Amino acid sequence: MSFFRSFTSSSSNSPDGAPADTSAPVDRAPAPAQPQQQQQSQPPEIETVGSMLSGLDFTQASRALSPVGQLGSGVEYIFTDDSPLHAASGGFVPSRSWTDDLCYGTGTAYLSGLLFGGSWGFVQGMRIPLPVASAKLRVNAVLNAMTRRGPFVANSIGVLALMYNSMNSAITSQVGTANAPAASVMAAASAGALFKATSGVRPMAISSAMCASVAVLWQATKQIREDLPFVGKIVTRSYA
Amino acid sequence: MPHHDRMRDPCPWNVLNDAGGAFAMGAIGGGMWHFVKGARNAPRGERFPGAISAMKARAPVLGGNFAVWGTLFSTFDCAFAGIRQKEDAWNSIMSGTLTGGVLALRSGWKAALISATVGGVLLGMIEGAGVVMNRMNADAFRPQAPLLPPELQQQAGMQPSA
Repeated sequence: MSFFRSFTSSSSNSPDGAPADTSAPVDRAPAPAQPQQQQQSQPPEIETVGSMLSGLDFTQASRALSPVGQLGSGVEYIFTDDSPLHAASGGFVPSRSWTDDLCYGTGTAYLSGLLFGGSWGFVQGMRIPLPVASAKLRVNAVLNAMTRRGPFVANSIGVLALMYNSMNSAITSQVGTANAPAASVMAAASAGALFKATSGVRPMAISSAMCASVAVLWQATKQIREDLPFVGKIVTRSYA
Repeated sequence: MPHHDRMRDPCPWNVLNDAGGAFAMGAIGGGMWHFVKGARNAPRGERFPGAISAMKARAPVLGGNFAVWGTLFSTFDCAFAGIRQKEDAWNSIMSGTLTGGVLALRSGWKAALISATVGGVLLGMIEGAGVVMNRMNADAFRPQAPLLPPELQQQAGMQPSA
């Protein structure tokens, strides 16, 4: 009751049934939704459901209950405590589960691969020698090079990230420690090996070593970011 | 009344989420599909290598196509949510239309129009199915009138409930 009352705009009705101010508009409010309450025949000092609800300021109440209720009014994460294994995975937003890790990791890797491959293709297309100086030919060369490099790099990195994230989540859930750097490096090494599994032992080893060193770099970056709280923290976490 | 879907992440970042989810769907599903297709198309004795090479060649491309679709869709969705200050089914339908249209733009206006219609109708069907499911499950959350405390029930002349 006091919970409801804290949101009501009229505080004239006292809880012990004392005579209330009969001129208050809330007591005159019709309650067609509750015909069994028989509000018309009741003495006005009785607090009914209808009078209680008609005094509620729902906008204020919903704002107090859920600060997220409006677009652009700040962000509250409500599910991070359920999965402490993933909550500190170092992304832009706290992760709720291994599927979040997978989707965010793969998406970020794919889009940065697209960006990198596109820039690579752009540079390549600008460097292709043309038989005649022509803007049209130059645009064509750049577009060709970009569409050749961009999707190729993005797809490859996306598949690598898909493998890495699934293995990382699998290892983490088996070991049970949150966010272990060793698990990440192991997952990266096996993802790199699996990626080149059809090309022979030597390419497998090279790819595995490259992916593992990237993972080491990434873990070191994360460590530095943890130590320097003002670097790269877009969303403040509720716990660290 | 403003809506905010709290099961999803805030807007600029869920583009990354959707891109990754779409890529994973396309790559894993396409991997299985092309594995089987490659095995069936390969000559006997070459089934496994054929399946692997078909999967390697086509699954990442399909994943990339999915990812581009998901990225564009999610970007448009966020843009509409930002412009309209609302999150409802129309955002998805308009984003589907726009995504279909933009991706087919290089094939000409007619193809873009057809693709946009297909995208919009597809998303409309998905959103419609969501609404239908919501209606079917809504009985579980039927609103109930709160019980009055016993002393107020007596004051109101009601039989006190057990």
